[in-house]
Amino acid sequence: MPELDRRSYAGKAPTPERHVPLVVVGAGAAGVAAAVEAARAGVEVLLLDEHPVDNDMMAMDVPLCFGQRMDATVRNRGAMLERVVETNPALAAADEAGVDVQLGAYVWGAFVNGPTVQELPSPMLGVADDRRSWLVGWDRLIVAAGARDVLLGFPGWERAGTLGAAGAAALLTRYRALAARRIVVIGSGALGLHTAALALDHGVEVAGIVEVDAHVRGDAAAARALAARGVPFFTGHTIRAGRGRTGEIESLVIVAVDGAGEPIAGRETQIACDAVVMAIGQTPSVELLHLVGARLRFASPLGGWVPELDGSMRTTVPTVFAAGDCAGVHDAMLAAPDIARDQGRIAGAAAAESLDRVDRTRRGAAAESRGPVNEARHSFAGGESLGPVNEARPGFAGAESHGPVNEARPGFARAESLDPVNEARPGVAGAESLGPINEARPGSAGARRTDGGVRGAMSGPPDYWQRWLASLIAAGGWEVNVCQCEEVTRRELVETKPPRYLEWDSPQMSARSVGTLLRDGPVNQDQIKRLTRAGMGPCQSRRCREQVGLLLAQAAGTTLDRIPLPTFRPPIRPLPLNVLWPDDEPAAMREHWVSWFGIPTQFSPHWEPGMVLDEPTAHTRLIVSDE
Amino acid sequence: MMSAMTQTRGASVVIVGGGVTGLSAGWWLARAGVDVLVLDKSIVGWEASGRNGGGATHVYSPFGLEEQRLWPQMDELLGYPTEHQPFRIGVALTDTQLALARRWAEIGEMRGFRWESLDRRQLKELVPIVGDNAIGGTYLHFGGHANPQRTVQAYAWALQDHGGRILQHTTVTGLVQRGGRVTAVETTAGTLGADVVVIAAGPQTGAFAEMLGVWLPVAPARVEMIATEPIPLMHVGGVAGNGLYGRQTLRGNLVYGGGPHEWINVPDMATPEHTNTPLVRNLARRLAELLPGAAHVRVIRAWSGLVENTPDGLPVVERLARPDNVVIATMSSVGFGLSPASGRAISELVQHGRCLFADLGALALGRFADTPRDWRERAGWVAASPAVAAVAGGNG
Repeated sequence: MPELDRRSYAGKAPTPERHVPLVVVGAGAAGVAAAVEAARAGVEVLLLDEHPVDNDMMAMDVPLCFGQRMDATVRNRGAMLERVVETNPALAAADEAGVDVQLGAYVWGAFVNGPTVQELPSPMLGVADDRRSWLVGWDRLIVAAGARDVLLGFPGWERAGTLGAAGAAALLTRYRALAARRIVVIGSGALGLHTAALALDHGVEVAGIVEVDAHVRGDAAAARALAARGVPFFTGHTIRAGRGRTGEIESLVIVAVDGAGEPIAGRETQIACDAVVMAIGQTPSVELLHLVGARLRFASPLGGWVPELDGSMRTTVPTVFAAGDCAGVHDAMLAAPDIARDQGRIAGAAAAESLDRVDRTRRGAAAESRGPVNEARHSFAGGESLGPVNEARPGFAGAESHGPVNEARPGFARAESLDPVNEARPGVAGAESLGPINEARPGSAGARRTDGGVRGAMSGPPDYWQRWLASLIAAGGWEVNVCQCEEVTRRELVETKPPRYLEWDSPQMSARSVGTLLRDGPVNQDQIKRLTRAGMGPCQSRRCREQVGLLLAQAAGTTLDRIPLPTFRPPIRPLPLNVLWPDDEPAAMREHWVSWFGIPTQFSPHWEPGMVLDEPTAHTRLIVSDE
Repeated sequence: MMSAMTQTRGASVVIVGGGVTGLSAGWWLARAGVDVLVLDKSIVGWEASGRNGGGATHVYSPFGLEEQRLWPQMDELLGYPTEHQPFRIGVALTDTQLALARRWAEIGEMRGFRWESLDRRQLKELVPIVGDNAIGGTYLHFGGHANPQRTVQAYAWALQDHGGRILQHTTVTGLVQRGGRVTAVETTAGTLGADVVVIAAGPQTGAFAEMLGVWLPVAPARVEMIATEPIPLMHVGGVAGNGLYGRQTLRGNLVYGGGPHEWINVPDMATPEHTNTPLVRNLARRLAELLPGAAHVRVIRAWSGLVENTPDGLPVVERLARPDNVVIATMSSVGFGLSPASGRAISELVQHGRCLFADLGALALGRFADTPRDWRERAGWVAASPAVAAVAGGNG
């Protein structure tokens, strides 16, 4: 038997520093319910949540669009931890149920074996706080990662003070740190009305609710209640520009639109404000689900790409479940958190039951070894209370058998969905029925159409977003940045212009556009991203992902559901090199590290055939020899 | 699909594989006036060709001098930007790393290229974010790097500008042979006639060779890279060392790869999803060691790619003896930087039957005639399975 290639990954995959039967990602309503349900069934559960998020991360609009409207208190991590715990009483319930709750812990990756990775000892999550990263192995994973705001640009939206509804809600409630006194809300659906009411409840003035459609889209009674509290409604309006003398939003100029969504000259209104909250819609946060290879489909009524689920909230990867907004978000969920909680309970129970089936005795042993749970309380991964967490680690690291995990091989579910035809045509998936879970949900409130709508049979939020985008283009033009990080305008996107810093121009290049690319195949957001750089910045396309898709759909004469899902790549949170830095690097990794394959003849000078240029490793010398 | 079948016609030269090698070959052929069609199962440059370190410093290769001659002209020749930037700086943290960097430079010197040795002070002047852990380095006044994503699209567009055609989302399922020649390729868009066929299909090249009864040993593997947020531009973007290859892009991102590969089996013609592993952490560490002044910089994405290697790590670029109208090309995992030259060589093999600018004798397929079928197991690249070992015989 020859020695196995020492420079390959074989035998070098890391052992997670902790292995947990069930990890739940996200401590919102669904995640906490899932964790509690599973813990009550006797399962050892680790519940991870990234809040309170580090100030630098918030400043990059990660994970939500905070629009630089955090007040200075967010720099006080201890105080923020207290607030996050205080404002989410369910965390205490989870703790009492025996769930290990870790806050301030970013989940930045999910790694599973699959067609191109066979070395991992178990599925694992990459987790990090502000100082270091580590790996957590799991047998079952419940993703309850919530939803992101759909943002659309307008002239001046780069100014501090443009937030998303979820970002604003987090600052109003979880952090109690919104640095804005007078806001304008964009969108009059359930999300917009909810956001306005939330702001008023927290003493923030609402200077207006702007709606491109001719009528208020949300519940009439809720709208009347807001009007009674002095909130003006501007229906049939779109945004002309956000203005300010400095880098801050000081006012928003809106303009009335006609039935076709075109701005009407002279019908402009300037509203003084210090924040603009985009509340036109949300889209599920499916990054982790994508990384584990769960099959996704486009469901307009559910806010875009969602995991395919069975009746127990199980994804197409048998060991992975999804619950709450990340499984599909719609208006009714805002008013009724019970919907998310019910999904969480179903997922928690199903995960517990499937673990039970796999190994009843092992689960019991794990539960016993947990010891006095409450001592750990809410351990704050980023703070001073690391002690209990670290103490708990050694017990888990090597002791677990990975048998059941490998048996399940979740990564291989990915192989089933590799059909290149379907990959290239996600619209096929979008045309399927909504499935058992989704059918049970209340329908979309966004089905109402106006004459300003775009072509296509699609109904639901994306159709509404497309109407907004059309009006914003009509009122704000094509020279508006769609991608703030990389400063790519709408025009540069659809003309597939190389980035400005290349200062490149040629007749050939000028002749190219999304239109010419369409001759070669369906429009692909990842391809456009490579060419224009839209979506390649530090916010990891959180601010522009949907509007890039909508713009491409518009340019291609199609609808958002026909644009293939742009990929997500780890780390799904932007993390510094010295945080990702592994303290637990296996010795063999360092010892045999080479830059390329380490095939001795690969880089031999061709005029001296047979010469070996052996790249040195940590403990070898450079060998240059003629064999 | 039906309309595609009726509309698509064959071409004088059909190229199987829209990676950087096939695209370059297609571009050279198209600009010579040859009727050429490039087929790709997904999007051009979608695999390793569009996701690699972008290095263009391979003077050791038979294509090396032509690589060095062509890169500075590529933007102009193509009419689209490749982001090519000249020169390389090697950073060494240990004596052995320094010895390797110098050896690399000396190989260039043997071909007439200039380089300088750098001490720590000189290194820090050129690359302010290196640390006190650096012991010295090299400044190569040759070589360079380019943007792989932009370059593959540039080849594709330039090829079209010269009248060539590209058919994406089209999988080749078979090769039609008649009278000792390949007369057509069977695809998901129908059967397409061809006078000459070029096979440059990356990890799948071996499987296509097999269809012709030709033994081409290649082993696919997964490799990974990371990219950071942009930082201010360095004097020379082509900075590497500490077991990493990569560069700073013109946008300012640090983009680096290296470390262990994972040998894999590609089950069929489909290309699996691009999956990363926790290796991204190890890459982050090596990069922070290489450039400590950037240790606080955030990693914003990672990716992986599949590349294939021959047993000796050297390319195979050859016009077959039989069937005699087929050119087979694998660059053995080092294809991007050499692509201006490899594509030119392929176009000459197609048009003239031989490469006019370099001796490709070292890259001939014949060197693997005696390589046994279970060579990967014997080399320790993959674990020997008893069942496979029992049935595998020498190819002879």
